Formats: sequence, C-alpha cells, structure tokens
Amino acid sequence: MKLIHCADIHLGSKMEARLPREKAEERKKEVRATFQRMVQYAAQEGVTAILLAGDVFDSDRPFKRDKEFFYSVVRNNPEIDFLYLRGNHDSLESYTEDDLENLKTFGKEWTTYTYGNVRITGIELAPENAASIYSTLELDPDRQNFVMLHGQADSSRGKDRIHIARLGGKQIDYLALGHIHSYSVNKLDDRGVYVYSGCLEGRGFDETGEKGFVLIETDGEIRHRFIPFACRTIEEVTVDISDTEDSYHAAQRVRAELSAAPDHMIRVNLTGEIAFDNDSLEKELEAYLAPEYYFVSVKDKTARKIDPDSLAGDVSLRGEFIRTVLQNETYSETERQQIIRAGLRALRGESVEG
Amino acid sequence: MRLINGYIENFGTIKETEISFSGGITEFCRENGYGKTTLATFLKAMFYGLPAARKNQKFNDRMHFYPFHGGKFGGSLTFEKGGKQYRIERFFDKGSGAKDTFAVYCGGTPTEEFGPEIGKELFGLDEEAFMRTIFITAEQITMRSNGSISAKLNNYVDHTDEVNNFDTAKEILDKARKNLKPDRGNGGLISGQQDTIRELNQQIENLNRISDALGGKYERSEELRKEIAGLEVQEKQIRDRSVLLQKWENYDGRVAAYQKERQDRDALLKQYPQGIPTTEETEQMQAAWNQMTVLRANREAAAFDAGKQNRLEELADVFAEGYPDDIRLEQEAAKISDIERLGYEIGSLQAQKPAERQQKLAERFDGHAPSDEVKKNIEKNVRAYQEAEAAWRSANHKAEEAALQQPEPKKGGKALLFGVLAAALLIAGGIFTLGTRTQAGVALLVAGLLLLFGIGFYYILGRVRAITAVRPDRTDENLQQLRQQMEESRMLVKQLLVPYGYEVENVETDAAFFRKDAEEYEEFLRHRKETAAVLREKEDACRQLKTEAAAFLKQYGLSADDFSRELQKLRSMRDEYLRLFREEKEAREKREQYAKQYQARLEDIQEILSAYGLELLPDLEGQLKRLETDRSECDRLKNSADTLEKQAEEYKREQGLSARPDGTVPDLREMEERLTDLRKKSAQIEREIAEDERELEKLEEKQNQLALAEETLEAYKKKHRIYRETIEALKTAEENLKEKYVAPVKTKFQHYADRIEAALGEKVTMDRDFRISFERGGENRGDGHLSAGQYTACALCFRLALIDNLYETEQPFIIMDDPFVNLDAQHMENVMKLVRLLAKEKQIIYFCCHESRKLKEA
Repeated sequence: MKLIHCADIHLGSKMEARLPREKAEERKKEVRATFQRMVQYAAQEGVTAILLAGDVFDSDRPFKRDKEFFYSVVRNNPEIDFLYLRGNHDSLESYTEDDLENLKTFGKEWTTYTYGNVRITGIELAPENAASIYSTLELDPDRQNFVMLHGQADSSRGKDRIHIARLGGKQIDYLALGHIHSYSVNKLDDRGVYVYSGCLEGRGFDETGEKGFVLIETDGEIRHRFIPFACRTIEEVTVDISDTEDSYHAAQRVRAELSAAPDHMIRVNLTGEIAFDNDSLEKELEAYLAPEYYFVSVKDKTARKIDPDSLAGDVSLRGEFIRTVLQNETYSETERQQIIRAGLRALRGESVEG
Repeated sequence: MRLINGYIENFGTIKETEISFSGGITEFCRENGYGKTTLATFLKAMFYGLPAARKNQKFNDRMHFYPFHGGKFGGSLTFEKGGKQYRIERFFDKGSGAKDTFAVYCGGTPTEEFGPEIGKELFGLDEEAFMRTIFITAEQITMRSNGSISAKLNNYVDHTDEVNNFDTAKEILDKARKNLKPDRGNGGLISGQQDTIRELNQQIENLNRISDALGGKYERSEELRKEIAGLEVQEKQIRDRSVLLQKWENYDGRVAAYQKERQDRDALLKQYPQGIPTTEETEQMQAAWNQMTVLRANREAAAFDAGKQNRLEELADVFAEGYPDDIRLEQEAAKISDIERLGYEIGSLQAQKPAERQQKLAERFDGHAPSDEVKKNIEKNVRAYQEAEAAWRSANHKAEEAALQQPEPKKGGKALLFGVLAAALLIAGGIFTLGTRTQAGVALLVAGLLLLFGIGFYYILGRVRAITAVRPDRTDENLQQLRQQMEESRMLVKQLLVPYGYEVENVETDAAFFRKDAEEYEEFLRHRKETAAVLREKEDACRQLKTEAAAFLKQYGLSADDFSRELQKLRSMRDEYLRLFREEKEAREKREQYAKQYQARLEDIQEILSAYGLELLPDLEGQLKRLETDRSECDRLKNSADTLEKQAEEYKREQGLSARPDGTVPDLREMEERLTDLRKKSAQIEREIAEDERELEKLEEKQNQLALAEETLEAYKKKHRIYRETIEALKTAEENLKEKYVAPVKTKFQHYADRIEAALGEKVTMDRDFRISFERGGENRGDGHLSAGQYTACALCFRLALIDNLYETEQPFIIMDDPFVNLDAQHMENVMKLVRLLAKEKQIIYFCCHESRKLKEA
C-alpha cells in the first residue's frame, strides 16, 4: 500500500515575497495547481490515502472558492482517501457538511482509520488536549502505526507544540507532522521516525529550498522518500561584492555566482565592503537579473569601505568628519555607514536623496 | 628637515639632472615650461612614491611623468634630518607600483629606518595634504577681501575650490532633511507617507469589515443550503411517488394500446367470413395482376400500325396478279442492261467520224475510188518509163567504161624521180655542211626543200588533169533517143496523176504514192460500209428489248421513262410489300399469344378468390389492393398488439410495478415556490460572497502596500535621522578641525605677523575667527583695508602658520611657484624682505620666471 504525507498547503494564502500583483495571483494558482497535480500523481501511483497533516487552508475561515476547490478535488478522486487533520491555520471552519466517504477527518480526541495492517491515528491539538494526548494514545504494537499531528516538535508541551520525547515508546512507526515548512526526518525512538513533509510550494523568501511531499510504502517494512514537487523553488543567495569598483562590476559578480534555474524565485543578499556609493544598487540589480529569473529580490547589506589608517593623515574636513562619526559610539554600524555615505556625498556637492 | 641635493635620472621632461639645495632659499629663475611642476612632483614622488597606473584612470602622475624618451624612471634625493644625511633612491615601473624599487641610505649604507611610506613617516601627512601645503602658488595667496581667511581654512586643508564646502554640504543635507520633514508645516515625504498609511489602514479596515461580515454570510449560505437540501429531499420523495404513479399510468396506457390493436383486427376480419387470403396468396394475385398489366400493354404494343396497313393494302393492289420473283427481276435487269449497252454502242457508232487522213483521201479522190482502168494506165506508163530509163542507164554505163579504157600519158616520171633525188642530195649536203659551213649548209638545205615542194606540186597537178579527162559522150544518138522515151513516159504518167493532186516530179515515187493512197481509200470505203450494217442491226435489237421491258413494267403501273429506275422502284415495292406482309402476320400472332396468357392469369386470380368465396370484381386492381391492404393491416395489427403487449409487460417488470399505489400525487407548486425563493436567496448570498471574496483579494495587496508604506515611512524617518545626524557630525568635525588647527595656526600666524611688522612696518593681528586686522594711525583696521601686497603677505603668513601646525614633527621645505607674480614693484620689494626673513627659519625652493621677481640680489 502507498500513502502520501503532505501538509501546509495553505490554500488561499497570501504570497510573502512582495511579488507584483500579477505574479502573486499566478503563484496562488500555482499552489492550487500543485496540490491538484499531487493528487493526480497519487491516483497514477495507486496511492490509497493522502495524509494531510494540517493547514490545508491558510485561514480558519477559508474563502468559499478555496473550499470548493479542495472538496471538488476530494469528490473527484473517490479512489483515494483524504485523511484531513486540521492545523493551527484552519482549525475552525475548514470542514464542510458534505458527506464525502473518502474524506476522513479528526477531532480533539484520538481517531483511527485502519487499512489492513496499517492504522492511521490522529488528533487535532487544542488547549484542552495539549497535555493529555500523550497519555491517551494507545497503539497496537503488532500493527504499522502512523500518527498524524500538527505542531512544532519541541521538548515541552504547549500550544502548537509537540513534546517529541513523550511520544517515544508509543509504538509509532511514522509520525506524520505538519507546521514546519521544510522537509525533515528525525528518529523518534528505536521503532519510529518523525517526519515533517514541509509545504508543497514556498510562498516567501523564508520558505526556500525544495518543497514537496513524502511518498510512503507500507508493504513489509515502511519505506518513505521525499518527492520534490513544487513548480518553482525559492532560493536565497548571499554574494560578497567586496572590492568591486562599481555597480556594473557588482552586477557581474552576482550574475557569475548565481546558478539557480530560470523559473526560480531568487533573493540575493549583497554583503561585503564596497568603496562606491549607489543607493539604487538593489533596484539596478533587480532590473538587471529580472529577465533571467521568475522573480528576483536584492537586499543591499554592504558596508562602506573605510581605511582607518588612511584617515589618520587626512587633515581635511572629510577626514575629520569620518573620524567624528566612527568615534561616535551612539550610532549602530549601519547608521555609521549611512551617515558617512550621506556626509561624503554632501561634501562632494552631490545630492543625498535617491 | 632640509634637502641637500637631488639627482633626476629620468622624470617627465627632466633627464640626468643634478640639483643642489641651499639651506635658505634655493632659487630657480627660469622661463615657463622649465618643469617646476615636474620638479615638485619629483620631490613628492621621492617621499611618497607614485600611484599605480589604472586602466580606467586616464592620466595619473605615474603615467604623466613617465620619461618621454624611456630610460630608468626616477632618481634620488638627499636630505638631512637630526644631524644625519639620508638618501632616498626610488625608481618606478611604467605601470605597477609593485615593480618599483625603493631604498634609503644613511651615510652611504642602506638603512631600514624608513619604509616606502617615508613621507608619511617623516611628515605625518598623506601625500595629498603634503602637496597642498608645501606647494604655494600665486592663486593660493592672492586672497581678496571677499573671502575670509577663516572660510579658507577648510579649503586649504581640504584642497577644494569651493569657498563654503561645509556650508554646501550642510545645505544639501538640510534640504534633503526638510524634504522628508520640514521644520514647520505638514508637508514632506514623511507626512505624505503617513497619510498613505492612514488611507491604507482605512481601506484594510473596510476590507476587514467585509471579511468579518463574510462569516455571517457563510453561515446564512450554509443555512440556506441546508434548508434547500431538506426541501429537495421532500420534493424528491413526492416526485418519486409521482413518478411511480406516472409509471403505472404509462403501463395502463400500453395495455390499452395493444388491446385496441386487437379489436381493430377483429373488426377487419369480419369483412371476410370465409377468411382472408394469405399474404402469399395476395402476393400471388398481385403478381398475376402485374403480369396481366404487362401482357395487356404488350398486346397493345404489338398492334400493326395503321399507316403500314394502308401501305400494305396499296401494294397488295399493285401486286394483285402476283409479284415478280427475283429471277424475273434479274432477267428484266439483264434486259435493261442490254438496252443500255446497245444504246451506248449505237451512240458510239453514230458518233464515229472519218479521220483527217481519211478526209484528205476523200477530198483527193472526190469521194470515189479511182477506177481500175486509170490505175492500169498509170502502171503501164510507169513501166514504160522504167524501161526507157533502164536502157539509157545501160548505154551511158557502157560509154563511160570505154572512155576509161584509153591509156594515160607517162611523161615526167623519171624527171620527178631525179628531182626528188636531187632534192634529197641537197638537203643531205646542207645538213652535212651545216656544221662546217653554215651559210652554205643553209643555202643547200633551203634549195633542197624548195625543190622538193616544187616536185610535189607538179605531181598533184598531173593527177587532177588525168581524172577530169574521163567523160562519156553526151551527144551519143542512142542515148538521146532513150532519153526522149523516158520523157514521154513521164509526161503520160503526169497527165494521169495530176487530177488527183500529184506534182509528178519523180514518176516512180509519185506513182507509188498514188498506188498506196488509192488502196488506203478503198479500204476506208469498205470499212464504212461494214459499220453502217452493224449499226442497223444493233438498233433493231435495242428497239425489240425496249418494247419488252416497257410491257413488263407497265403491268405494275410503272412507266418506261427510265428502265433502270423503274425496275429499282419495282424491286423496292416488292420488298416493302413482302416485309409489311410478314410484319402484319407476326403482329397478329403475338397479340393472340398475349391474349391467351392474360386470360390464364385472370383465371389464376379467380381461382384464389373463389376459394375464399370472393367474386371477381370489375375493378380487379382495386379489389386486389384492398385485399392486400386488409391482409397487411391484419398482420400489422396482430404484430403490433403482440409487441405492445410484450413491451408493456417488460416495462412493468423493469419499473418494478408490482403493486399499484393508492391515492394521488400531492401538489408541488407551493414547495417549488418555496424552493425557488430559497434558491434565489442562496444565489444572492453566493453572489455577495463571491463579490466579497473578490474584494478581499485586494486585502493582500493592500496589506503589502501598507507594509511597504510603513517600511518606506520607517526608511524616511531613518533617513531624516541620518541626515540630521550627518549635519551634526559635520558641524562637530568642523568644530574639531577648528579646535585642532585654528588656535595653533593663529599663534603661528602671530609669529609670522611679527615678521610682517618687521618687514612692512605694520602690526597685523588675527582673532579666533581668523579675522585679520592691522593697526594704522593708531586704529585697528579690518582686512578690507589691506593693500594687495599686505594681503599677500598675510596670506603667506597664514600659509606658513598652517604648515607649522600641520608638520609638528618635521618641518618640510616649501616650494614657491612664482607666488608674487601679481604684485607691483613696491609690494614686491616688501614681500621679498619678508621671504628673505623667513628663509632664515625655513628652506624655500623658489621658482620665478622673471628677473624682477628674483629674491637673492636684494
């Protein structure tokens, strides 16, 4: 038997990457399309059940159209069971009254669905059961036990937190978790593992890397592998542009260091000390790289290169100004950089606005 | 520190040049272009090196002073410091500083007391500041009253041309700061951004209200959905019952339908008490009827044509006595052929005409052949003539022979022989003597030849005379008589032949012509007689044949105008008669046959009908059609009834109609109205939800805009703070600069001002704001009252004071590049005093380009 473990679809979620409106809309459609593709994949692979470990919807009160989309997918794939456990985002109004035989839901108490030797047990975390779930969980050691939860793996109990250690020794073979948006596998105890499938599609630059779901095979020993499935990857790259002479050379260096695929969303963090001023460096680089990627965001985190030794012999107002700023401890490092840049520009007679 | 000497190996335009520096003033009075800047840069380069050549830098000092003619680029400089002499030796690469060589020697020994940045180590200043301070030009000390020394201080140390560098920077920053937030009023970017944020917050609040209301709409939608679903269940139950009743009604209808079919069939069968013919029989009858129809049509089609009948009767009249058979027709045809042939032959004979020869003969003999008597006379006279001629010829021959038998005279024969011999001898002698005696030879030869020709001529003449001498004697009497007879005979013949047109030149020939012509003409006359007899015979035969042919044709009513045409006509008529006669017979036989077959089919039908007690009706076709229709209808009704019955039972089984429900279907109208109303309300709320959700799609964008606006506001605020702090930092820096440099500069200025007093006789002072004043006539006067010379002296003092303060550890040399070029002679004299005074304390390298500005001679 095959199962799919996925979580954090976040249907209806807004895009966090400050995308232009058209691209944000496109990404929302891509999130839905990827979910639909995953179900299609499940049908083709003969998957018995899809374990949705929380946050299918981004909101407690999802848009009607998002619910209709989700339940339409469920309704139109009757050969697949959808085991839908609600998370912290969709804990209230995600269910519909539709009587869908292949939609299996959970509640505030442990609920189990059996598929031959496989038992899938889950509970939706709430303040009232946060402490009790550990003691009330009872599993048959002779079965293949899958447990579904949504929360942060932790070493203590609490809201949206799962005390991993306390689930050890509970005869769990595979703890299917949701809430963390990156794939990870960790040992639970001698018998089982706890797995975050991560989200299906990254939404912002805080959700970088490959996204997808976990395909599980239960015949004999339980085997599972991560299937990268997102239609595009979000990537964050840090490029040190120290010693570049100007924005042209800085752009060349950034371009040389990028190796992402063209359909990726890229965040480029510029670091290092540079000797030139360009307040519009971020925008220039974004414009320069935009044709090569789906979306590019550039953050200038560089510092103005200052040689303290060279200042010692500079008896000018410029030298005195820089020394004054550098000696002022009330400024943060960033402020120092900004003040020096502004002061030097002004001393050159250049506008500081830009 | 003091410069001792220098050696420029190669530097710019200067090459292999040694320079010595004195302790006070080292003066170079050279024209422009000598290389003062080159020398000054050389001195700087010795202390500070040269910057590396950069690709994107157009022209820096390394590139600028790279020797024009190549060679080792650099040189050495010896100076004294702390009682020790040092020599800096630097050589430069064309491009890279890494390839430069640098060494410092102390007393001829390399020392590591100083590194490559020896300038910085010695003077504590970077190279820019160094150059700015030690290099004094006319421009730098020609200050007018419009620029205060105070304002210039920063410029001196900052090396800018801007009078108010600090003020400009402060103004720029202030403007930027006020652009973000003015000191007064509500304008500025920050305020604008705050407005934007307020507006966005308002919009988001509105959207959130929509979002909040959406929950209620979802609930209402759900309630409506549930209510509609409940009513739909009820409606379905009622409709199901209604459908069941409708199904029973449907079944009843089906039963009634097949029963009706059976009743109709029974009613139809009542018309046939003894039964109705089977389908096969009706088909048989119909087939028989079809055949009858065909037979009737065939019989009608076989009728003999009236036109043909008339023609047949006409021809029967013509051949009432019988028609000629082919043999007879052939006989008649042969006869007509003979008639035609005879006609042709008669025509040919009649058309025959005598030939031209025959016509001429007829004319010669005047239409009658010469009589035998005439012919005999002619022959008799011709023979007489021939005999007379023969006799004459014989006599003449004898006379000739007699003449020929007389001997021929033989004179001259031997003479000729001798002559020939003589000629031969002469010719031979001539030939023999020709070789020895030419003239004699030739003469003999000519004589021989002439003799030979003469002999030949004589001989030929003799022979001719002999021949002409042999002639018969025409005067012989016998001959004369014979000749007479001949003439007489000829005349007689001529008399007979001339009437027939002969000339009679030659008796025998003309007689022969007459004989032949007479024979030919007689033959012609005989032939013409024979032809006339044949013609008569043929004409008789032809007439007889025509009479017979005309009689034959007449019995069939045909004329004798054209036997062939009429006979052909007769033949056609006979053939047509025979053909029509045959056709009429065949048609008659066919019609009889069709009539028989027609009757047989009719009897077949009658047989079948009678078996069912049915009589044959006059409208047999209609009767058969009705029968077939009834038969077919009867079968259809049976089949239809059976099929409908089967379908009804199948329907009952399929629909599971086991027990008929009681009662009637309730009225659904009220429920449907309620459902319609609820669906409308549901659709309305769905529309509202869709619109709200569409509106809420803007929420994300608005939130993004708000976040961006807040970020921007934060950035503006930060910038505002940064600008403010930058202004403050600049102010502090300026204060620090003043604090650090101004007071010492003032003290030093006063030091030099004392020298001015010594040199110029006027006491100059400087307040804390670098304002210069001087005493004149017991009054303190501001710098606005300074003359150009006084001002230059003050500026120089200020510069020197500045140098003293900048170079705390080691005082450098000063390079003066014709600084007093703008002074008149009086001021120049005073300033010179001052410089000479200063040179006691400082090493001055003084450049000028005119004798009038030299220092030392004074």
